[in-house]
Amino acid sequence: MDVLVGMGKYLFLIISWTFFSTGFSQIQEPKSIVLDDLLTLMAKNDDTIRVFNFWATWCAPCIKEWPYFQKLSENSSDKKLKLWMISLDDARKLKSKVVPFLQKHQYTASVLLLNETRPNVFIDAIEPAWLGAIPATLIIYKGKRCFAEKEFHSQAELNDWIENCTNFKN
Amino acid sequence: MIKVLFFLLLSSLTISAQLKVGDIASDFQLMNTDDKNVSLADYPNAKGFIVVFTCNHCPYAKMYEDRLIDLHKKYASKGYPVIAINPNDPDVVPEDSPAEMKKRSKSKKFKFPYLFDAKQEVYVKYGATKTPHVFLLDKNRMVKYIGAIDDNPREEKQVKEKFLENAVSSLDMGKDPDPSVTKAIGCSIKKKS
Repeated sequence: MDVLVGMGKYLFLIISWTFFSTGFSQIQEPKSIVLDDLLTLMAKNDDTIRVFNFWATWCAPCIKEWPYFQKLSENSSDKKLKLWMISLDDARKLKSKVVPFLQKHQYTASVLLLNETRPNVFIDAIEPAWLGAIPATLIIYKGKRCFAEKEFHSQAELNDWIENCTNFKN
Repeated sequence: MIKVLFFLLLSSLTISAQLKVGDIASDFQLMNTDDKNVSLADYPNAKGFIVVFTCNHCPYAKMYEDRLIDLHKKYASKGYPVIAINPNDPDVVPEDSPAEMKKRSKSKKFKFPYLFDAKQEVYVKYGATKTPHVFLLDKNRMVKYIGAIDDNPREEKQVKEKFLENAVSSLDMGKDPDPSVTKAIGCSIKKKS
């Protein structure tokens, strides 16, 4: 009897392992970065379109537009466009809020958490036009910038905006 | 050509809707949590006003609730009352409804008015974009300072620069605040859709 119970336990473990590894993948814990790390990422100057979305798990409109950015990241595997979802969540809530959120939605877009406490310093350093509301999205492409302090309401709206921003005449 | 000029004029008008330091802010009449209307004109002896666009639901607004209470305690008697205004549409965020505002005002024992911008006109006139967003006015409603309360939303104990308090002190000494504009993270204002 004991043997059977023991075998049952193993069977359960195997079944749950199979379930989790096929249907429900573990999301990597996002890296926590400081302002300098972010500015370094932003400063790279090549032909890649760099998109930075500033969000937080507590920001309702950010959560609403997340799916469009997730789709964008799935569709940009050709590396002409790189997306970073920069979380402004409290760094102490990385494990309790950010990871469970990503896990729940199975979001695989690249996420970094900006661990900075002084908005009056980091907002201007990132983008002078930014007034401080989120969501906010910044594109850097060929040394030029496009900035939107607003929520995108559809995939088309986001894609069109990126298209307009990166469609320079020169 | 005239069309172009007209367009330029229109666009500059749109931009100038946002208050800048030195502009004169308009007065308003908004409902308080005790169901009475409040205007800046109700404060004939005020030397200035700490107008704060804030709300119930936003985590950043919540982080500053106790600091707003302290600011009012410290400066109302000196002639600079806090006037809090919730600009959000409760259809978008039910937590920011007048009923919920009453509850918050009661539970936190707000001594300052907590007004509801029901028509969502006042925040537009001021050019507030998020909660919390501060506008410090002098007694003639001239804008003296716009921006953040201090430099550290998360850790009050680690605040190094009390931007708003410094601005009020400057104003009280008849000087122009420096810095007169600062930035803070906040929740975007929830508009009626």
